[in-house]
Amino acid sequence: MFDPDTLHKATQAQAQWEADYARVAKRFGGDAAAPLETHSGLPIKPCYFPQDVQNIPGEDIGAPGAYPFTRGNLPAQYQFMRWANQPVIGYGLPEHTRARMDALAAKGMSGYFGQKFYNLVYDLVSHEGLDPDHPAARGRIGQCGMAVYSVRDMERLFDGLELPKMNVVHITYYQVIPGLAQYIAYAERRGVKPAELRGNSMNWYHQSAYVGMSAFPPDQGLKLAVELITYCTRHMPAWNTTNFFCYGVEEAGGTATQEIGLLLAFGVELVQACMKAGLKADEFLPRFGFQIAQANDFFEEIAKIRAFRQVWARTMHERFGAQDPRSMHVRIHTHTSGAVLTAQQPLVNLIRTTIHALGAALAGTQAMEVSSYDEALAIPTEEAATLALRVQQVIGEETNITAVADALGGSYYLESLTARIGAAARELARAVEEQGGYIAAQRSGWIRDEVERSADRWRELVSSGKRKIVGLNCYQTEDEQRAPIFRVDPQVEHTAVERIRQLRAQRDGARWTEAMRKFEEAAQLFKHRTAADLGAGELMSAAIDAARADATTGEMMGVLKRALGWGAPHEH
Amino acid sequence: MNHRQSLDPAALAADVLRGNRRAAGRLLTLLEDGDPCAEAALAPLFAGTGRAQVVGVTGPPGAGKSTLVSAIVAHHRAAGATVGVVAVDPSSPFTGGALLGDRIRLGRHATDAGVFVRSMASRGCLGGVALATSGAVRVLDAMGLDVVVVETVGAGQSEVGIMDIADCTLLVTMPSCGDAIQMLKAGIMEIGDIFVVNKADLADADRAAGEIAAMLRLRDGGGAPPLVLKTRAHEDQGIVELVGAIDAFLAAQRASGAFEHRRARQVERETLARVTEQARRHILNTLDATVWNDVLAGLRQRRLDPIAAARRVLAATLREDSDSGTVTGAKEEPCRISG
Amino acid sequence: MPLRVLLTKPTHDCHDRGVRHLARKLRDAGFEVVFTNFLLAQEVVDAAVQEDVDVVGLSSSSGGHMAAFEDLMRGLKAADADDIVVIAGGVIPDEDAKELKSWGVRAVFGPGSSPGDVVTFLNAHVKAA
Repeated sequence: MFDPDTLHKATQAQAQWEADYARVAKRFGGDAAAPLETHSGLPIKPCYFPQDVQNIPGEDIGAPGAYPFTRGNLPAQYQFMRWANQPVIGYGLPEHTRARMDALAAKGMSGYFGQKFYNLVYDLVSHEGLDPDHPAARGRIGQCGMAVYSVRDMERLFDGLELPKMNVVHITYYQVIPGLAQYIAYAERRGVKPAELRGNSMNWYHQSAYVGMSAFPPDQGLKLAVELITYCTRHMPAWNTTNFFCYGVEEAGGTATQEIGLLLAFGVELVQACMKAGLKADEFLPRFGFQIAQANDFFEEIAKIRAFRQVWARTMHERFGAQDPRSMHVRIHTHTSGAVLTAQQPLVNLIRTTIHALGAALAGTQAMEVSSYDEALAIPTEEAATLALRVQQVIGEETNITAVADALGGSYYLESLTARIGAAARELARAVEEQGGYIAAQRSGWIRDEVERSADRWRELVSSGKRKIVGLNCYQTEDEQRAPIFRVDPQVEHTAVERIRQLRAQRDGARWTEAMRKFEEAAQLFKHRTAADLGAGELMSAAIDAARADATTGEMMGVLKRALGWGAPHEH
Repeated sequence: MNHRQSLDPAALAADVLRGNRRAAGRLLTLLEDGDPCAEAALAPLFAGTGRAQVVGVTGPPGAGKSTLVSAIVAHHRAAGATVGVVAVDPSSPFTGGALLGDRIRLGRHATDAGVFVRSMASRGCLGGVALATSGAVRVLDAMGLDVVVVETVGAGQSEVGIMDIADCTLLVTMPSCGDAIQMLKAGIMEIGDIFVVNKADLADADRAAGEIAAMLRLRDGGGAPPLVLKTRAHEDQGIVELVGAIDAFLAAQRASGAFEHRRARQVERETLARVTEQARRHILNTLDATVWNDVLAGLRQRRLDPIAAARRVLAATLREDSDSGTVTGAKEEPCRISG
Repeated sequence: MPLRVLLTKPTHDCHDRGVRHLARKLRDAGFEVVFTNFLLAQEVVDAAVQEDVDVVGLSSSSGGHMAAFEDLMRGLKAADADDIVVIAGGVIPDEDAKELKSWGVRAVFGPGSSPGDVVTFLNAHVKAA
């Protein structure tokens, strides 16, 4: 990268700097050779020089919009269009969520090309695949998300909005297919065809690799993901099928390398399965999205994102023959880290999330969800949600960082770190493949053990005080500021249960029975199919039919759970 | 906080025989703790035991034993049989604590009143299968459960202990990147009545099964070698065949009389083990502190070797018994009971 | 004899790193820890009875804890198991913690507490048989 003369001078400069640094260290009674690390534990130095990036091939860095996209997916970063504001919305009854959607839209929340973008999270009850009248639903209806379980609930949520002009992100856990089926059935009632719908499904069934919630067996989960991808590729070209939930790795305690390395390994397995089902790389890759964390180590997090763009693009192109640049892009939805926020002195979280959001912007994210300052306590109040939006607006409007694409590119430190994290992530993905792939590594508990090791290390660092957290292990205050805690109205439970009972009483019983029978049949057949047998979308079609017949989330998930299995995700 | 004091052993036993789960749970704890109340409660129970089919499941970590046990339980439940599971995990040799993580993998049976699951720590017992485990099996048997499955981690010769409890022992492995046989060290292979290669959807399952079968043919002198079966427990595949093989094995054992012989030997070994355990406890309880400190001093100064030290302890404790007139001196002859 | 502890969390809880870590720390402190998860609180009652534990620790980070504890305390009483010590953990607001204690929950360990706090509490307040 640099000519010999420049390098020579730089080497001399480094030698001089090292001597000067040692003198300063001595004056402070410190150790010049004391090891420094990123939060992931990668060793770093107090200063970087040209020689540290000398061996990085020029094309690894390149230009924004040029393969392998290290510096950004597109030539322009934010000069013409900012990242999208995508706060998560969802609590209480559908009408409560709708009120928040309307309020935030009025405050200036907007997505690509000024379109409306609704990032809607479902409640704990539907995440578990239950209906509100199930005994386990008590105390969870409308909690941490919206109480939406049927097409009728979607009517309450979306009536009056123009579906083809908005993006709806369905934030589900494993009730992906019922959620999408109900949305498609709802749109049909509004005279809108599936092909006109824009939005996202999570399509992510493998959180259980490192978190012990009940789930579909991992191999069944993979097939469910393929089923949705094949259906949408054929019938919903504007639909983003899959959200790679990298964020979940970070929240579970994983390092930056693990976050992208594990998801790279998963990606390989998913792409292989989709191709077995008959799809070509360029047909479905452009509709993948990635939800990535932005945590505390400012430069490591930026390097992580640049590295991920590079290794993903290379893998999709070299390994799977992707030609379309959009097949190689990592379209990022940033979720600022919730795990590093504190319950103590909650307003301080506003400072943290601002720094996270700044890092995400410098890394070139496509969309941002900034955690609210009271995130550690309960779901956000309207005030907290508004401030989270303002964080992005201040960064976008006042700092001028949006003028330059990949402004930090060329930094010796950042380029060096990018290269190292990229190499480490590839290595981790290779280790996963050696065990037979992501699913095999999930079943054996290997992935969980890897992530847990990182989580334990973090915990030890914090409890020993080596990793400082303001308000937690340093600068604590005696009287805590009590942030107002948002509470859901208990009347919500009553109403939700009443509504589901009414729905069951009022719907066409014969039609529902027949549709559910067919859905059950399709699920049983699906269980024994391999990825290669998929592609005709029979399960999706049967699900949509059931949704048309007013099947509820709990009813549809019950069918899938019984057919495919449901339980503890690891075999030991 | 002591919720197990002042329990009437007879009432406890009666409750267990009636199938009361709270009573069974309490009795299991008392047995684990070596509480004398437990022993009193066990006596009336013993006559009511012997009906349950006891299946042992062991093998190296990673083979998916818990998932297999869960599938076996599901099979029996579908057939209307009630099932107990005793899941043994190792205690930490340093802290004495234990992480008992098998229960979560039996979660699909969590609301089933026909299933009783008890997790136990090995509590430093060599062989990983404590005397308390045989006691636990007996309690579940007395409750009226049809099948009792005992699951332990097999990591080597220490798992021979499960032979002393089960009517049929399954040795569970999985195909692996290396040689399947590497996981089965000599000694542990001796104890399997049926061999299972689980996670048979992974590559090399057939090869692993073949290798085990070949080794088993070399193992036995004559007669049919044990069956080697393949399962995919996480998909409930191969379970019908496995349970069928267990039933066939037991039927053959009963027909030849081997079943009764095996149980007789098990109860014999358990009794011997309890003799040793009770003798050990008795000696340590009656040992005078001064005597022990003297012995320790002698050992430290190398005046006394460990064998002589043990003799001195025995002599000191047994001397007290001989005061009462009963002759309980230590015999020099080797024990004639075959082990 | 080691104290027997049942640690559990709802199946839908998406944060289990804390409670798994606590389980290991309790083991390191000499306790025998049965770790499981639950959909209905009755499952916790059944498990507590079968395992005959001294302590039940229920951790919840995604809400719904009041209903879960209400069912748990009622269920333990009905099963003649209300001598078992119940402790709570996870994301539980102060007002809720007060009410839980009035129901008989002996201690609530919020987000700032450490496994050491739990160990200290158990050693001080719970004795095995």
